[in-house]
Amino acid sequence: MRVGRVVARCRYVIVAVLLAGLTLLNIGQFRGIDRKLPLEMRAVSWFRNSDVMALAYERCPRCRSRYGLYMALGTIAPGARVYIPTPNAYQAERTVADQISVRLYSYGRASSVAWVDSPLAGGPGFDPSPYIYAAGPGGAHDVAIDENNGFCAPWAIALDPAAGPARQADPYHVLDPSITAEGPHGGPPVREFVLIRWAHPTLGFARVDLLVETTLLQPTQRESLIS
Amino acid sequence: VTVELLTMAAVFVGGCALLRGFGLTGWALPPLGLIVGICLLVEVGFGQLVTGAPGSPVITLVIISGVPLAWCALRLRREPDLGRSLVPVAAGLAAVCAAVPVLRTVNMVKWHSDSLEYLSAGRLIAEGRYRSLAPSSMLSTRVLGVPLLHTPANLSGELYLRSITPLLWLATVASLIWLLYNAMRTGTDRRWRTVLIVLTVLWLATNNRVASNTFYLNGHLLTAALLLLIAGPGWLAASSAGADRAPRRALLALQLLAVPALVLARPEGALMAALAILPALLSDRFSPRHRSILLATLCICAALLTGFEVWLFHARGTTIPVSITAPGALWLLLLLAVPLMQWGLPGRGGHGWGRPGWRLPGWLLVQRYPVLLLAIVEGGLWLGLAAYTLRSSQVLVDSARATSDNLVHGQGGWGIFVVLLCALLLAAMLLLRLPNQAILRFPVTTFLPLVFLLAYLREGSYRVGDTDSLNRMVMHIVPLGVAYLALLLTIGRPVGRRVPRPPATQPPAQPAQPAASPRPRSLARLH
Repeated sequence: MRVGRVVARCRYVIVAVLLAGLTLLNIGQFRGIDRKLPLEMRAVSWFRNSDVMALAYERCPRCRSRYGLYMALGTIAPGARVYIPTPNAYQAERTVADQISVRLYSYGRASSVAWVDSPLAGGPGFDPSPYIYAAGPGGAHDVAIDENNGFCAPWAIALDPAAGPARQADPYHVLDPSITAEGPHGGPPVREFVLIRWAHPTLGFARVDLLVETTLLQPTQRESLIS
Repeated sequence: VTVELLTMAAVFVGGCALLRGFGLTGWALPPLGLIVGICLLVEVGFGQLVTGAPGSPVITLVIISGVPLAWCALRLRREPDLGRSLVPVAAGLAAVCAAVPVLRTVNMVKWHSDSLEYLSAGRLIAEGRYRSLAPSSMLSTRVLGVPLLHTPANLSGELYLRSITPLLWLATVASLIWLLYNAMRTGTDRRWRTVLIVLTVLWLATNNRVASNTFYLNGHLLTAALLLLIAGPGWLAASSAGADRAPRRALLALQLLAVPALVLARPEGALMAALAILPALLSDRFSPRHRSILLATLCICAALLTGFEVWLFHARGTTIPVSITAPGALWLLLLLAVPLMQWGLPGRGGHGWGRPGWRLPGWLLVQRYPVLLLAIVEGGLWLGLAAYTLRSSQVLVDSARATSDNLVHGQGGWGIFVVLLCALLLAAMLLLRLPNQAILRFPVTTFLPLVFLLAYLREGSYRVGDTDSLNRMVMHIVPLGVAYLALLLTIGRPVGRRVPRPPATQPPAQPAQPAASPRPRSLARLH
């Protein structure tokens, strides 16, 4: 009883000391915890900017694989019109098809995405390698496309040199300083691209997700998209 | 900067105007107004999305700021006193406007792969493409709270509002201070009250994971703030604490505004909201009218979300999972139960349906058995978990092991904070009591069985690491848990000593009552 009375009398002191001790414990653990965590999850960490998609592209290989194609489109040609020739592997599942459209709009800042019946679904009909401006790795877990066992394919974007920008030596890192999913939509002229599963074995994958500018295509191929 | 400044100003002014209209005054108005403004942003945006109305964030911002301001202006003619508290609101607005450019330049963003999906959904909403394009999985796993929170950023081509999460964090901390200050008002002298509140807030804010939520693009901080906003004002209203600065009407409005936002903040948001409001629904400290509105708000919002999910799944040609239809049916059934809330206890403010002959038999009134019903619900969660575990124990074993690694052995980044919080809470709950404490306790103690049940429902164990779902979800109950512990330690009474019950704030009993029924066991005595 006596102890109880003493505790009751010193109640606030005891609580204050307890809380102060707990706070000191938190402070003592704070830096040690931060050191063990990746930079993007640390309590105290600064970045060069606050463009989270650009930071994810820079710091997270999975994000570079998963979102790189779309972000590259949004960086190079915001407001582009994108055609997806069918039939293709993307259509195997509704979820996959929806996901691609969503990413083209949200990270690629496309002004329109059209799924069109076209022979281009079988491939670009020429070797776009000399026109590849930017490329990225595959391998991230993502929505399942059967032929990739649920992994993203490597990606590439082929540009018409006449429309620019000029091709650089290293397509894997050419966009590193400028990549973003933010900023205004581009004005006219609207650039047009075709998204094709290109049968080109790269880094252990049978195919590449290729965005190719329509001005690189034969006129008949272009017509097949519009009709 | 301009778009973000205008957005935050609209959110802040709208929230403050609405709360002021409900009678809240003083320095609590700016932080609570900001959280309420955020609730409005989410709720109005959801309304636009569900109804298929034009989804431009400009319309959302005009509605959330214009309607409360117009309401206040109309009331100002009849109640000139409404102009009080202009100084704190003006100071708060100036602080928000000053903070926005600063917070945009600190570049301390935190993210996880979920964050990027949320931002993608936000852009679709802003551009009016969500209804036609969003995959069904996007809605069921990444609900709308966080996307709607950041939708206005797309007006300037950005993906998220740089300042809204840190400002929400500050507002949550300020709300915690407000709750503790009002709750401790009658039991402690001013000096000790200040010291204890400062120390409590320091303990919370210095935790690494709590601090990391300041800039984290996710819904965990929002959920934590909303849970605090449902339970805290609910407890103050039930206990009649701080009634001079925070009138009962404002406290109840806070609860009502937080519930729909919580439903939209997380996939399990509706369940969490239901558990958070259940003690209030069963408490005779709230009028039957408030209880009816509270339950109806939850059920309508949850049913609307479920209906939208069903529509989206159907439109995408995807099979609608039972995890959506079953809760949807539950919300509709509960909606039918709303009129039952009007049947209060005789002599305790229950309206009945007029004539005594039409009254429900006393033993059928759910408000008579609050302790029992809360125990049944909490026990039901544990029993459900036990049933799943009997069917397959692996999920629970793996989840428990991972959670132990995360929270006890430091893999989750919480340090020893959560272990100490749980141990102290357990000890304090065994030794001390608060009046109406079930309102604060229930969301905290039901968290554990709920999240382990969710592991079964999502068909996957929790994992080791700071990015594990449960490890991040712990944040949901941390501010409320800390508030509950602080109140137990400072104003709680030893077990066994009778807790004085504040005078009832219910409408007086109607004269023509049937024979008095036995008094319900009070929530005050609930352990």
